Amino acid sequence: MNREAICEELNDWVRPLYDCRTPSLIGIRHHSAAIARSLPDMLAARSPTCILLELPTDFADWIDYLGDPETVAPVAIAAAERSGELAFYPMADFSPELVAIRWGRKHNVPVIPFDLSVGSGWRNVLGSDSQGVFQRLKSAARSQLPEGQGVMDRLMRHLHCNDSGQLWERLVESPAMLGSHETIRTMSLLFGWAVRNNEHAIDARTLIREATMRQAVRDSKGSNSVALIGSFHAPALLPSLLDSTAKLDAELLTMLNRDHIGVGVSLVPYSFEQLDERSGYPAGIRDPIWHQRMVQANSAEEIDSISVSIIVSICKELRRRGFVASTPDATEAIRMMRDLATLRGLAIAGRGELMEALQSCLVQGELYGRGREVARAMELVLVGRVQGKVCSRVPRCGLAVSVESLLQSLGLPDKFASKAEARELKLDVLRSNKDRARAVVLRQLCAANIPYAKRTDTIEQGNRENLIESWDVAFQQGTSATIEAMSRYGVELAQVVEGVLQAAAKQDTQDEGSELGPAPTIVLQQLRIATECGLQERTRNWLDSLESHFEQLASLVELVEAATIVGRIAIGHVVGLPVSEEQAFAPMLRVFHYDKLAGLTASLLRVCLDRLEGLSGSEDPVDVVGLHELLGWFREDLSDQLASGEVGLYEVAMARLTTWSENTLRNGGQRMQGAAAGILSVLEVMPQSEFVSLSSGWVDSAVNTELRQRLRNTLSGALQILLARMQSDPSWLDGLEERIRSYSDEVFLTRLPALRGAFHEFSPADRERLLASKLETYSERETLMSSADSDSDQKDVTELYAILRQCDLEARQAVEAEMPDWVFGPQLNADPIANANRDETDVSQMHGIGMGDRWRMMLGVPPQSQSRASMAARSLDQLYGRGQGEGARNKLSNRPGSRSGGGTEAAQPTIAEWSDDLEELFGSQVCQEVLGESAAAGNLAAVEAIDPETVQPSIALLRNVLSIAGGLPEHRSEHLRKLAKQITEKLANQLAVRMRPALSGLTAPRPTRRRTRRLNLHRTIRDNLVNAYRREDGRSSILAKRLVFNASSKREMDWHLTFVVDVSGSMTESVVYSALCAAIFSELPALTVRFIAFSTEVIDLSGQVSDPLTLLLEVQVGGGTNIGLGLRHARAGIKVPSRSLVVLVSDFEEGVSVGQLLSEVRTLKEMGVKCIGLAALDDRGVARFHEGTAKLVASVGMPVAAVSPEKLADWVGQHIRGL
Amino acid sequence: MIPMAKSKQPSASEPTPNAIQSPPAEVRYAAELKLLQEMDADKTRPGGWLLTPQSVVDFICGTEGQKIGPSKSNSMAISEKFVGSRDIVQRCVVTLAGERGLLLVGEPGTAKSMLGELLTVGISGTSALAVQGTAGTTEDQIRYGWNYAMLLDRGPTPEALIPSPVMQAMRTGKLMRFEEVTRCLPEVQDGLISILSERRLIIPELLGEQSSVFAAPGFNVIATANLRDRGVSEMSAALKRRFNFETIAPIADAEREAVLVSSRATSMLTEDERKDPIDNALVQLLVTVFRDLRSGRTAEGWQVQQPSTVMSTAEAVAVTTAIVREGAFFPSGFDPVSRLPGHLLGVVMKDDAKDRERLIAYWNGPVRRRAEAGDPLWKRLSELRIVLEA
Repeated sequence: MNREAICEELNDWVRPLYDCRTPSLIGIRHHSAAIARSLPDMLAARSPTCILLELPTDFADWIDYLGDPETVAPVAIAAAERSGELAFYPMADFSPELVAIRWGRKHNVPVIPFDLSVGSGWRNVLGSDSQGVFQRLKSAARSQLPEGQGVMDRLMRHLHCNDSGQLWERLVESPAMLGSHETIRTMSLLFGWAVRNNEHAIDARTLIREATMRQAVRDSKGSNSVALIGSFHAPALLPSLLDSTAKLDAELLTMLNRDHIGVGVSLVPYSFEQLDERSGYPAGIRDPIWHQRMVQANSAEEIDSISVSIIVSICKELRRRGFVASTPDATEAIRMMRDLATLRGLAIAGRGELMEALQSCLVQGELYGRGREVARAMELVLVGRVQGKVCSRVPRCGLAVSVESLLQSLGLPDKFASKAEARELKLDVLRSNKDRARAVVLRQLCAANIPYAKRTDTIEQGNRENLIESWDVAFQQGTSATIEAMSRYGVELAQVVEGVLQAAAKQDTQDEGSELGPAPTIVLQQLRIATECGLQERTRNWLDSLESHFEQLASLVELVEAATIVGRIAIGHVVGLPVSEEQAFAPMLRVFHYDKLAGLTASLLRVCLDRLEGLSGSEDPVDVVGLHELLGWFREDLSDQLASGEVGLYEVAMARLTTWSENTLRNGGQRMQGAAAGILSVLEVMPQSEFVSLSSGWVDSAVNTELRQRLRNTLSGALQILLARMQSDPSWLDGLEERIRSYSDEVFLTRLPALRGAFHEFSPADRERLLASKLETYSERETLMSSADSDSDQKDVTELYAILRQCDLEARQAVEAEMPDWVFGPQLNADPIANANRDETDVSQMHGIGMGDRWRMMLGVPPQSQSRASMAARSLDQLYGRGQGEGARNKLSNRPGSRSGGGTEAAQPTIAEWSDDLEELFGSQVCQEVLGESAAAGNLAAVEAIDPETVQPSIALLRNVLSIAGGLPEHRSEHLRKLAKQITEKLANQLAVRMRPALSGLTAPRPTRRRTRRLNLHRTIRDNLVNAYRREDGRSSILAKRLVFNASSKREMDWHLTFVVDVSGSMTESVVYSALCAAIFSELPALTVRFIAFSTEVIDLSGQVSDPLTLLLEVQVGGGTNIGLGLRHARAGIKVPSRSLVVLVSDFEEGVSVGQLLSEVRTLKEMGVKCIGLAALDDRGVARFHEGTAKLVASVGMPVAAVSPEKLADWVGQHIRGL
Repeated sequence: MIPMAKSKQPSASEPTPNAIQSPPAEVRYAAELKLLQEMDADKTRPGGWLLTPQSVVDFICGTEGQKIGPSKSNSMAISEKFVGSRDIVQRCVVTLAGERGLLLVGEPGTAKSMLGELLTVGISGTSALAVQGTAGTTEDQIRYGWNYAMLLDRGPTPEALIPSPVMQAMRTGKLMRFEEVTRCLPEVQDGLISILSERRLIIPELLGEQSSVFAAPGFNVIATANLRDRGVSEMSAALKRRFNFETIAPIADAEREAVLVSSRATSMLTEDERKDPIDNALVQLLVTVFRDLRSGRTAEGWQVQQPSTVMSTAEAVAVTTAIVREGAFFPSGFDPVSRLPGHLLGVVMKDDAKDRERLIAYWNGPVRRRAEAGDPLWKRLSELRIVLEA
């Protein structure tokens, strides 16, 4: 059955609607070009005395402004009421409402909006006593037209539509061009009737609105009026219904407010960008330009030519962006669009066909790369940049009115307050609801960039919240002006904030692919503002969006932050989102419901756990911070929140965290091993004793450079997790304690730099607290000592010390006298003071440096004794300085005569002296380490003390040396270069021995005459066809005179290998290894090697690739990460895609645009380039990378792995051999 | 999107289709084709086409149970053979009527090949002209090869020429299918470029008129490609521009997928093997597991770690068939659910060792929670976790 037949059949059914004259019914749909085009004809044919328009009655006075010739569409008209009720109508040239208003003005016919006022307070009617009325109204409305069971389904099926939008398109919009205006009217009424028939639950608001409209029709009785309503409402205005429901309507309407005070109306200019549905503004439509041009078209041919010109412009735009989309592509798209329309029995191709044709012909199945470009070109062509204008007579905006009344109602200073009256407000937000509402309004004003309020207390950090907020508020000069300017976003403050956020989100995500959604930082920022400002709907949307791409893209820290926000919402600590009625302050603050909070927490937790996989190899303290937060969340907040959620989730999560920690402890990066041990102890999976023995093992094993490095990193990782616990319970440090006590001075000093390095990462205040708790176990005296010392009252202290010492010695003698067989073992702990005293004495008797001093030195506090210990400590102070964070600016309390002021201390040693000191104190190997580390910390002179001839080559040292190379003046760099050269050469030689086996004998199947071991049979037969002969039995055979072989690749091959190396964070081992590998690869005749280093900029170092040292010296470390840019540069240099390999070395912490990165990878793959992403290139194969991004990259075709140089050589070899 | 098993196979009238393991579409749907052809007898259609575009769409998407035919006695309902949006099929048909080839892309197991087969049958009446792309596909299979013995014997004559399916399709004006085009080496793929743009194949070895084969009206190419599969060579940009792309998505509706798996599995089993009807509960269970793992999210909204392998509908069918077959041949005390984890592991574990962990994580999460909710089948499945750890 075709369309005509169905319509024929249904025509009779909708006849009453069509024939209705009181009033004449015109069913419309917002932004319907077909209706807008033929509306003047429809109206002219009826020559009405008045036009009833489905707009709120509040607009009655504004119709004139809308119709004013000075007003240029698009514009938006809005009405808002205090309770938050809002009507918002954007209007363009293709909006039938606007066409009707213009027609009315031109022909002098009054246009009357007759829909429910926003100030009606219809919600108040929803009580139980009105239910009966609604029921009766519903049944009355149903009885008016023949019951067309399943008409909608039938229509949809026969026209092959998936939703009502498509049905409208195919039923009304597409045939409109060929039909008369009366046919269009019939069709649109038919559509409305079908939809209504399908709608089983008409909501109360609709019923009230229809009752209002009916009442208005009754009031205008007698006049020859036309009602312009949504086609859905048409059946509700039938004359028969008007009669039957008169009483019911009246009953219902008396319950409504009659005086609509407090309704603010505003008319603002609008733009096509805002009108486009994708902008996120309400009541929009897709592709306004399309509709705009449709409404101007007069014939089917014209519409066709519009489509053609749109396709051509899109192709042109694509070409401008550097993609191939030429005339044949456009031709094919146009043909496809027309043929699709024909196949579907449509008179003209609609927007749907246009989109489908473009997708099939231009996107080429690549949603990420080309698809996005096509979408962007389409957006540019079809959204356009048309800007509306309102006539100059329009009264001032509603926003100003609503803000003023808001300020008044909350007792905040408004523009009538005296100018000087800047007030400081203290808001007790969690106890007073009014304060809460005020705080939210102030936040909204800030978010809307309206200069009015400024917060003066420190904003909360992490989970710490201020209970009392303080604000400076004043109605300033710019306030009014800004409010006027912001009115384009809406008529209410909340709406404006919403608009601002919307615009910001759009701005920020412009580079991102729409499939990916906004970057995590943007999501978090938006979510934070939305929650603070109490934008419930938006909060819900962002919370919803957390579960999608955010989870893929966010880093651990971001995930934990998101979870924190969610958690705060759940317990009602977010000012803008009260969770119970007691906290609410209607109408500004309503209770916030979001039933998926628990589920969201659970899901975020799961992703956090997923994310761990990428962190096993991390050496970055920031990642441990993330872990620490996760752990804290786990221990405290989580158990409560999850208890109400899913069963068993907590256990599963706990199990995963434990498993991860256990694996990491075995195989992870150094810092992460420590952190994992810390986590296991905190979770009490690992008993404290085990941690103690583990940590003593770390110290004990630190016998060479590498292991000392390891000690430093591992210990520091563990400390990050356990520091707070250690401060309150020093027994966590027993492992260190025990080992350190047993060492002689020499052994202790070799480990000292590493130990101090581990502690150095914490703030001086933290370290001091740790020291204090540690010293407490030794003796009270020590504590007294230090506090007295800090008073710089040297004399008193010395006296006190002498007295205490005396007491101690007497006590010791007494003990010995009482208990002659007392064994002084370190573990015996009968009396902590006595025990500690004894230790102190013992150790200082045995060795030169006492335990207290040993701890002081490790923690970077000057030791007590003026011996060797203080020298060592001072030497290390040279390296470490005072540290950062809390307490860094005050002098450490324990530092006698520190640098501040003119101390009595000796002048700082020169580097030469220092190096001598180090050598003497720590031994030559440790000395080299310390110097290297000092160099890394920026002490240029330290490098000069290292001897290039005897240096031990290690990646770590090279890294340190290189990291200062960039900032070195030429005349001082000679030594450094020499040193680096030595190290580089030695390392490169070691590496080359390992890598070469994988690369030897690369062949490619190239035919050659040269004899090799591989015969190319196919070519041999073909080339020898001339030598065919017949055998005696008549069969033919070939004499192979000329043999063809497959050449070995060495001479033939021309492969291109491109290293794209991320140098954003630090000079990591991967960077060094990349340079070394590149140099080794470049020695192979078969390969051309390029080397591209990138951060947010790109440097092409291909010229230096054979000399890794120069190359590494050229690399400037630092800046953000723009992987896409690096890849784009790599792509630009690729000449033979099928013979090119791209190796991307990065941690995948993309800082600019993941979308761009993906599309670059995609493009590379499409070109036929073989790509691999290396999360790390080093010997350990444990990487630190962003697991989410890496997964995405892998899904578009670039495998990601952490590999050793041999493995990389294997991979390159395999590809070149064509395996 | 696997063909719905037809309740009534037209096997009775056909010559022993049982002898063929899987009869081609033109045999299976011969009756429908004949009917549609009769109806289209005097309608205009693109050159070389068996049916009008409208009828081709109907042939593939079915008529939703409505009987059609030239007369009341001679009418039947056309079955739905492809589960998916009618729009896609319409676009495919329109594309084929034009000058570009059609490239169906999508994840493995989304019935791209089947759609291609149906289109060739609907438009050209045969699905025989096909090239299966592999890494070893040579240019001979796209252009032409030589019968070397005859070449030696008689020199380059048309008789010594071995035409490729492409060449045959060009001569006869039919559609040809190129399966897995991205598996071929790029050089080989590019052989299609000149054929698609010039619609002419030049044979330099032959002289005169025979040196060119021109495409008759109706010739076109349907290619399929798994753009996300591993180890594929990319298509060149030039070749891409000769194709219109249609992306085929996995089946959106869970119930439909279950019906499909069950019916498809039934049709793959022989009479002996399918003594009992396939257990619906088992299929439901299997489809749920597959969908969870495929999408990374369960219907309840729980997150699942996706394995690196593709969890296609076709794989679900294979697992179902295997389990049912096992039950038929080793019937004593057979519990179909107990076989599920093992088969699943076989599907999931292809080349990434971590996939086992992911599967176990799925068991620890959703499976356990569903079991705790009290569903006996899930409970049973949950108990079988041990199989995965072996």
